[in-house]
Amino acid sequence: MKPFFFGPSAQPRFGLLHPPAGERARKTGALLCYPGTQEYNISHWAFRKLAGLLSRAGFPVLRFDWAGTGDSAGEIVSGRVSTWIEDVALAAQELKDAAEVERVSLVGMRLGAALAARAVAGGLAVEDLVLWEPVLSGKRYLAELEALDRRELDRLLHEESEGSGELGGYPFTAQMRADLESLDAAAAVPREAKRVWLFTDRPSSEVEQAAQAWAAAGVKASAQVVQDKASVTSGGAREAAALYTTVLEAITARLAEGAA
Amino acid sequence: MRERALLLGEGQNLVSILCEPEPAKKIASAPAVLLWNVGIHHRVGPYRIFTELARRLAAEGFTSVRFDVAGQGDSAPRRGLVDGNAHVADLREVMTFLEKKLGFKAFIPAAFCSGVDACQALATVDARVAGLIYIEPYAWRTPGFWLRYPKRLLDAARWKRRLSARRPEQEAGAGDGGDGALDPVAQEAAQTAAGGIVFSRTKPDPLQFGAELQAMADRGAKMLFLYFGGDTDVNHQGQLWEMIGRSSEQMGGKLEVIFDGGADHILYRPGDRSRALEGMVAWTRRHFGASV
Repeated sequence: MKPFFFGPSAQPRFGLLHPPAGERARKTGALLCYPGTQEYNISHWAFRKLAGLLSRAGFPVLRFDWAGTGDSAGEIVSGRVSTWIEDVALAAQELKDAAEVERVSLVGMRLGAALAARAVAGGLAVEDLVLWEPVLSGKRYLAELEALDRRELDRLLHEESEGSGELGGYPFTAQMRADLESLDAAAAVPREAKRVWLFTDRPSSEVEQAAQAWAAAGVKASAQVVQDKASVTSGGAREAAALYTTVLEAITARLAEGAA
Repeated sequence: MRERALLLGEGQNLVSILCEPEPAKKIASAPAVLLWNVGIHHRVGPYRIFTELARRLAAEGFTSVRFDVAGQGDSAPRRGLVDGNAHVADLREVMTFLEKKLGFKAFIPAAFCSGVDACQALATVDARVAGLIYIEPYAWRTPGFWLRYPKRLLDAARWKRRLSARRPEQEAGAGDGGDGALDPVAQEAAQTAAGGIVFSRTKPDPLQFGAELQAMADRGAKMLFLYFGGDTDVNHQGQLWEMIGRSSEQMGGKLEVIFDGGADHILYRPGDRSRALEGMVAWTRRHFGASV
């Protein structure tokens, strides 16, 4: 495993490259796209495990922090959805260069799935595009964040922070709100993916409809329900997302089936 | 400010970010600051607080390393066994890197919550620890805590939570015990009895903890404790002294306490985090900003 910074020297992104382990080194790299805000922290361990599974399946794997998050340079208040969509292409190229592969597959979770899908719809060619508990509507995502924020403020005995410019424990600018309100990942067909897999932990009509719409548009898209004991989208013990196992194995199997 | 990603430790297994000030800003002989995991959070800390702290300290001239201990965050597990606390061994290996490669002689470990266990084990025996920062360290309910405890009944936010938790339209997951808002101690006891609390740590004896802090103060180490009062076992600025049975004067002013009664244990709100960060940076600047 190699930690490193990449991208523009004025605002480098942090990445972790996992070389392929085992006997078989595939010619396709796997790029993992974290979710946003507090979901990043609680799913970090799951991403580490997923990187390990994919590495052992022969994939070189790159995990990276979005601009203004984690160890990457910048502040979250400067974050823009358009910048993060560019980050996907930037990281994909970095993976190709660093691992000396010609093809990449993407795995994105929640907001990371939306950003990955938009990057592919915008022209980034990939083998497999895995959308894990995807955010398909930015407006719905905002509503979920607001509900979560109310619960958390209530649990921690704080007053509600409506109009405070905060959400989910982070500063939340009007620009970011506008960016997310206009984010409609379902509307942009990810035509540059050879295969699209949508994973959820419970049946979702929104996800089913997106898969059907994309299939009707000529994309090989399929929705699949894989239940783990907990998830970042459950209302209960959200930290239990660290215990994901089943869905990680399912994602790894899907990528391994299709990749050279 | 310049950041480098490194693999540190004897096994080259500790994923680390070295954060350095601009050369012109660097304070000669200032200690290096050490930051590491907080519970399930990797080295960036809850809500990215350690990334922010490292960068603010760099702007003041201080170098830091934020890293994942072996087997947690992004770091690979340690090969083989170590005597004692394995996290202490990780801390020592990072200190050795900073000492041998960058010439640092003194260190300020900053521990958040459970990170205090390793920090205390290190700081009590390693004189290179010139200062330490404890964010939400051990807390014990003192007689003073219980005297102040009824004041929660005057807290409007607690009543609001109790009342809202009883509304049938309340969203799923919101009501983790409306009664707990008014009597968190009873709620905790009920959860424990039901097997609902799965994470617990063994706290040291408070008087022994105080004696260890006294020994550190006597050798000249500076200490900053940050306690928050929103959802914790601390409800007063002076509770630390009640807990450890010592006074600030006995410590020779070497131990300072910042108490933010409105902040919660994980510093959920950006404003609370910002005040905590300001406090930590100001304390570091005041005590170590003139190092030569």
